[in-house]
Amino acid sequence: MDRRLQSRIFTRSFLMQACWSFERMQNLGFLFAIEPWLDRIYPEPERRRAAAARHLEFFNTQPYMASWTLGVVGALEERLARSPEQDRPTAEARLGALKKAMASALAAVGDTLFWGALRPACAAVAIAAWGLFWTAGLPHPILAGCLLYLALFNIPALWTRWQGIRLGYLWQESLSAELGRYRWQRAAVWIRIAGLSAAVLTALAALLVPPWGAFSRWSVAVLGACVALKAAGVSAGRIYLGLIALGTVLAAADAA
Amino acid sequence: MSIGWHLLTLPALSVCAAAMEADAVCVGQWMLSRPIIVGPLFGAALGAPFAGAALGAVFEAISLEAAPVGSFIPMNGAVAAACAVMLSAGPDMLPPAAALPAGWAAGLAATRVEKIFRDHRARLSAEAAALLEEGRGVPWSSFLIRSAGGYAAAVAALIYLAVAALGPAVGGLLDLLPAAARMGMTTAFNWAPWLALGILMHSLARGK
Repeated sequence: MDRRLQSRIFTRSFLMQACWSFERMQNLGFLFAIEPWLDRIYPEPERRRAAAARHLEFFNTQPYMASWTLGVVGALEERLARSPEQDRPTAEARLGALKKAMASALAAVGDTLFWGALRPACAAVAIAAWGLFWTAGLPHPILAGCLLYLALFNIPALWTRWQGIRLGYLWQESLSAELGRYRWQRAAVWIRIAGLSAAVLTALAALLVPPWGAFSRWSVAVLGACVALKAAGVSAGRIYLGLIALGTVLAAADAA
Repeated sequence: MSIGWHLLTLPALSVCAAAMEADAVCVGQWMLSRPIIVGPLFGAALGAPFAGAALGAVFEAISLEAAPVGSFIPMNGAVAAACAVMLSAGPDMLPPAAALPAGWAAGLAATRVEKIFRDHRARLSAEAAALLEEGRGVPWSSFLIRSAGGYAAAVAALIYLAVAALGPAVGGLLDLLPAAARMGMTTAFNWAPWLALGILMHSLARGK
């Protein structure tokens, strides 16, 4: 795999979910992304179409981690193309099974790292940055916070997408074992700690530090209640309706 | 209310919002569709960056309570934030306390649109299989336009209709509400940043 092919797959991987359906989820997106590779591996139209049809089966993983699967599948397709004809059905079945297994394993890593840790942490850091930049009198505090959010999230996400193709291609079946050395879980924990620290500091600053200084027993009570209710599994919508009801009761009591 | 808003500004903003929303699932996932980005951007475009940031931050936290895993479709934060900001900073000038639930409703309606498109896209797989069987290639441009382009157009229409209809409707409803209920909505909106921080803390502590 050369850099030009990697670039084409990388670019196409941004449309991985454009044809997402409940039935087969990312199957069309996967085929769209890997198509340039299949074109190169199979110059004969017949075999190329057969390979494309294989990738119309169900496929779903976390979108940033899909590129790792693309790398592994590309390598396995190359191997399959070179294999003798009598071995091909077995190799095809193996490829399909590996693709499914890797998609599930990679989805678990991607969901934990990107959706569970990086996304809320970046939001917490961006909100903290808005307050910090505004208090410090820096120009365009909101824009700066938004750009910080996009940079903090996209640098690792794009790196994962770009490198995933290459490393998936290199590691092939040993991908799961090699990925284990990256300590994703530990990284996710540290990202969450950083985000939680930013959120707690923002809350403290909003309560105590001028010019925010919105400290009141109600602020503390609402924050505590929201955390407790979320921990109890109550949805944000219900909590907000509860806040409206509480605010209405308080206003009615005030008027009386 | 100016005709220019309904014929020019609102359609343009609806298309921009739908283009940014497409980033959530269809194209890229560069996080341009996050409410924390959409809210301030639309707020700045309408001359209310701080209201945009406040609404964006609240919707960001609310939309963090569920991850887009598997077939689950969470509340559409981009549509919610864009609609709430347009309702609040546009000519309807709804109080943010009323714009927030109105935007929330629009975000929930957008999940319905997404579900319809996801259901209909199943036929694309069958079409692709049939074309390959016939010895032809998959017409990707047509597939992408029908799938992502059609979805973005539907979302733009939804945003336009939501802002155009909810502005006067919610404004009229507000006048009918008792003063205590209006005060209750304002109080809840003032507490919304604490709700947002609470959800953010919970989501980071739990890791989901």
